[in-house]
Amino acid sequence: MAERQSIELHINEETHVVSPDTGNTLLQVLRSTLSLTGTKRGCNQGVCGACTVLRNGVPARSCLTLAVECDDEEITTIEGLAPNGKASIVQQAFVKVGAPQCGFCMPGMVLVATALLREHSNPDQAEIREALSGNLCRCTGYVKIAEAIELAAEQLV
Amino acid sequence: MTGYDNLTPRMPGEAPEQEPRIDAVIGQSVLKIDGPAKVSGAAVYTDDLKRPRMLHGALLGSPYPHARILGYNTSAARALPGVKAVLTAEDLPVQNIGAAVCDEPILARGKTRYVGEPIAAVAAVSVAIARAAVQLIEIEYEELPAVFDAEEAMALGAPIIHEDAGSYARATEAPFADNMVAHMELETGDVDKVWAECDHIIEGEYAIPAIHAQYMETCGALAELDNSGKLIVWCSTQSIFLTQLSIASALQIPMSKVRCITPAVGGGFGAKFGSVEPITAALTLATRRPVKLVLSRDEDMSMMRTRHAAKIRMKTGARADGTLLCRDIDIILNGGAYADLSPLVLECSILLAHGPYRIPNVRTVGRVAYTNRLRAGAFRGFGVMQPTFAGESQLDELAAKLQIDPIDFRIRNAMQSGDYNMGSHHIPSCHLAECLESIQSHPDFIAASAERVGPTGRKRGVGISSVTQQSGLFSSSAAVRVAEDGTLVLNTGYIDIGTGSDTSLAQICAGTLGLGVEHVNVVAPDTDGVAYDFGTASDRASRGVSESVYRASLAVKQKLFEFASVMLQCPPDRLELRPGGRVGIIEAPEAELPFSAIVQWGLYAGNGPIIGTHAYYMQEQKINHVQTRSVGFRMGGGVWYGYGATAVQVEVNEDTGQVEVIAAWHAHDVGRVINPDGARGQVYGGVAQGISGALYEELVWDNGHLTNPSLMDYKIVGAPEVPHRIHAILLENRLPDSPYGAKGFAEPTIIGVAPAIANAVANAVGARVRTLPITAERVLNTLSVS
Amino acid sequence: MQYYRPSTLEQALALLAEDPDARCIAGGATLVAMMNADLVQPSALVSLKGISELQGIRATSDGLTIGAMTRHEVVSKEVRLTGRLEVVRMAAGNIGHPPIRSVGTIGGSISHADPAADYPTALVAAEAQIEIMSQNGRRLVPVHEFFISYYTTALEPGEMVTAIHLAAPPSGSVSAYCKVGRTEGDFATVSVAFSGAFVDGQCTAASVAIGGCGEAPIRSPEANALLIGAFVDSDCVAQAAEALVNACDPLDDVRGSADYRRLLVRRLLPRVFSQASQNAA
Ligand code: FES
Ligand code: FES
Repeated sequence: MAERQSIELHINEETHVVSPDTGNTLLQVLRSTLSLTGTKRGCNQGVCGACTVLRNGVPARSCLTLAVECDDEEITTIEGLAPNGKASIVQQAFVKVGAPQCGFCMPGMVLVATALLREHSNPDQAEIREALSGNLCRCTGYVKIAEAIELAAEQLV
Repeated sequence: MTGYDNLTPRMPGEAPEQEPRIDAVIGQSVLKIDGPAKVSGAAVYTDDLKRPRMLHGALLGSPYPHARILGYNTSAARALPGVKAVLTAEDLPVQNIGAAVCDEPILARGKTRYVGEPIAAVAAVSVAIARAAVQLIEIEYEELPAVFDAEEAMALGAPIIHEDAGSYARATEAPFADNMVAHMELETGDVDKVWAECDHIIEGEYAIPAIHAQYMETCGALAELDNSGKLIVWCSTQSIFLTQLSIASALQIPMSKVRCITPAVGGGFGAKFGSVEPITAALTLATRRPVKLVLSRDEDMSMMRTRHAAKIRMKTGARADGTLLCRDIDIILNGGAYADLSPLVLECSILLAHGPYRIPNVRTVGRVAYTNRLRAGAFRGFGVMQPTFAGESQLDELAAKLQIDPIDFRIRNAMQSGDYNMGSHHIPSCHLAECLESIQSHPDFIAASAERVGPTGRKRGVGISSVTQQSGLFSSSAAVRVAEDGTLVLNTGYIDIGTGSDTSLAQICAGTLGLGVEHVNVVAPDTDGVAYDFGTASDRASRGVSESVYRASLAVKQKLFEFASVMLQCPPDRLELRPGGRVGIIEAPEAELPFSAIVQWGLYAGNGPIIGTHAYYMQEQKINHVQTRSVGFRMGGGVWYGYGATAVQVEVNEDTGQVEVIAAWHAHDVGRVINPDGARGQVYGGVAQGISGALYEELVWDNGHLTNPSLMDYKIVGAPEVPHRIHAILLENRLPDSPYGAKGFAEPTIIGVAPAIANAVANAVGARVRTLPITAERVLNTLSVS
Repeated sequence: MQYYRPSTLEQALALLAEDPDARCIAGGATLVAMMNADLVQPSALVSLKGISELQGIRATSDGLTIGAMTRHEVVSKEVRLTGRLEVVRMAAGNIGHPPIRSVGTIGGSISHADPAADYPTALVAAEAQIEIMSQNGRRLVPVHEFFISYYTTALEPGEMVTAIHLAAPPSGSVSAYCKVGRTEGDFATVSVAFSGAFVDGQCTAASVAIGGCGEAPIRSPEANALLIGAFVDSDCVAQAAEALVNACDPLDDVRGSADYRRLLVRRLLPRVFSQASQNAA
């Protein structure tokens, strides 16, 4: 119960012991302390979704999550989807349809898509749009992102 | 990253399993070369970089829209432990920067001219300390009267924003005065005389607000000094060369002492032509340590730049038979506190305000004003979107009066290949009518046009807009070198900000030399590289840059043939390129050499390395002064025009006024599709951004203070607001003098969306909204009037 | 800034009593955003995540109790929220986006007291009671007295919201909820929440609340009285809307002008009322 305390974060199946300030967000710890820079900061206000990680399997905004609140939790960042550089089916689908443009939103989008497909193996357009609704992309109009999710869903069955 | 079968490289020089065409990669949906990095979090953006002993920068923005700076007290900030430098204008050379008008200090000097204007900068050991130090800087101000509206700013007696405007260096010949940055006119025919011949005349005033590009990656830079004392600046920019120039001139150091590099850039849309790089570089020079400065979203929205707010008065006349006769246009742009690219934006507004139609009598008068708001600059659509909103709205109103189908009306008046824009600029290829027809005959569009109500009983309507834009500005170049193993190194200095240009340029290079894109090493933009490029703008990748890449690749081919001819003892004209990176003797399948053998012969035995280069300038089209009268107009750079059309179907909730876009169509004559998936992606993105601007986006200021500086208050479209059905119709009328016939098309996909939506709303419920964004409230207000 | 993660309510209340500038952190969705923007600088954070008493929805002898730490997503799927309480479930499903609903909590949301948020309006329509505790004990506050002004509640220093109590819905009661925002997931330009009952198309009980139109959710006993006895096409519905408009005090802001909001109240109330009557049928 001090200003800084040591916590354990289980990130991408590795345990990291860190001592963030109380006010440090998970996003700050991931990017600055752990150099996991695949998680992006687009707004720091919880609106854009660029900072999305999976927290115990559920998409969460790391900019609205204090690191100390995640003690002993399982966190998956974008880097965790392709251990050893082997891209996941979802990642491959994003590349195949040509979804990434500037790419800044993509880590968040891929994670949201991954979580969606774990829950619903065959989502319809409405479910896909709903799942994406919290993540902003300025480049793609979301069309190819939705296409990628459909393709990944086909390949996952 | 591995794991993609189709990315497994074949070694160059190996014959492919079946013999494809040499240029097999042209027109293929080749996977984007940066795709795997971007979906895996491996792509590195400016803020992802970290350097040893790196400091963090922060900026203090002005609290006043217009104030004299009487004094600074930075001692408390300097005394804060961890602070390494505090800079104000007093610490910097007295030097303005500015691409069109040299009017802008990198930190406010003497005066501050908008709320948020950077006035001091801090470098400290952490972001938190830098930001805390900024709060400790005390500045004494004398508040001055401010002006926010462009017309009020140009009226007599308005507070003067730049007292020294007369002494600024300018790259424009346009007349200027007091708060007027530039005044331009363009006129062809005799507008005043022909009103009497018009059977129908529509007149109206249109307002377009300032909006922000909302690239997902905010502006930022990281600067450090290298071993030779040269500044290295990694930056999120659309032009490394303009950025290098602005840093060098602001800090009064030679360009040889500045090197700019771009890592991945998270979007730009025109608005990333220079940002915090000079200030970051100044902090590095002051501390001799690496400094990173990345803006927060609210800082970016209050410190960077906007799309020009515009007020447009327009009057259009037609004969009863549906022939357009005449258009008179008055454009007023709000340029904000600094000129930035305003004169160029105005020039493009003026050039295309009459739309892609044969109108014999057109007069356009345009002015751009200084005001005490955030500067306006380049933005996707570059000055053309604003008058297009007015013009395309008027065409529908005229069509209604004429009782003609709006698409037929447009086709009837559409420009054709061989016409002259504004009586002056030659148009070699215009297939606007074909674009319009392709939508008109699209089965889904026919069905949508017939559908007057949606499933819940709400009214539906369709709307159309023609689209045109000039493209291809200024200079580009390319250098292609063949590496020892026969792979290619391509250097252009052009920045892929998400448009897929790295991939499409690699396709052009690879396709010209018979290789796959995996054999092309696209060099990251670096001012220390060999090639120069003006920057990512005006769909230059498809015109100027691809031209350079194509010609440089041909130069490589010529060298390969030259060397091979010696090696194979065969005249060059009997040689042929073979797919996979081989040169062989025509009709002698066994007699061939892989590129690697040829290049190594050159390197170690013969005529030196194989390097092809090309430098390109897009030839300027001049005004024909007999046909066209002009004031202050000088289209710098080339002018080349592209054509397309956008249609939408909307549903209007008459209780609340909310508009939903149900489907969209965008047809464009792209000349030749280099990468179909990439091209469709650009169309989807442009249409979505257009919907966003048409329905939701507006920067709102209250007495100079931005009231919505967050993505919470300033809304852009999310997935639910964009229709599932966006039809990208890519027409291919090849441009003879362009490599593979390609034309630029990605930028203007945004232009027609707002007018198409306005027309669709009018078609659905009869409400004509002349002010953007078309908010629910505006729709209801208009409905209650009509 | 200190960080505490008590495991019991008692410990949490003791910490709040000790340090008046300490703030509770629930899901963090709002508080962390405000901390990121330097809008608040608490001296300490008391994390509520380890306190099991605050979690979940329980049936009580006279209704339902929603623990303060219950996430929006859980509320949005709670099948026991029926009849006049269904409005609370509808509101929960309207908050933000899935990633916000999976984190944000009902206690956090109402303690923030944004009058354009979904819960306050719905809870006022459902006539909830807010359970507040401090070291000195427990008190129940009718929800419309809980919301005082913009971002201001009846919470005193040392107090926290521990639960929301909802009286069991009379059988045959119904709800309806309607929100107009600029985009999906936006805060309300105007929201209208209705709880009530209908018999043969005639309204027999009514409780309406309006969001986004003043410093707190707007209610009007006069409007409720006008609606009781009304049919969908009665003139009384428009009169009730007028009464609500008179009770509103909306602002002009980026989401819309005050006039537009008043207009929406007039238009949305009949829609919500008829939706509720259909739900009853
Ligand atoms: S950075 Fe977290 S939501 Fe935008
Ligand atoms: S690809 Fe650029 S923001 Fe999504």
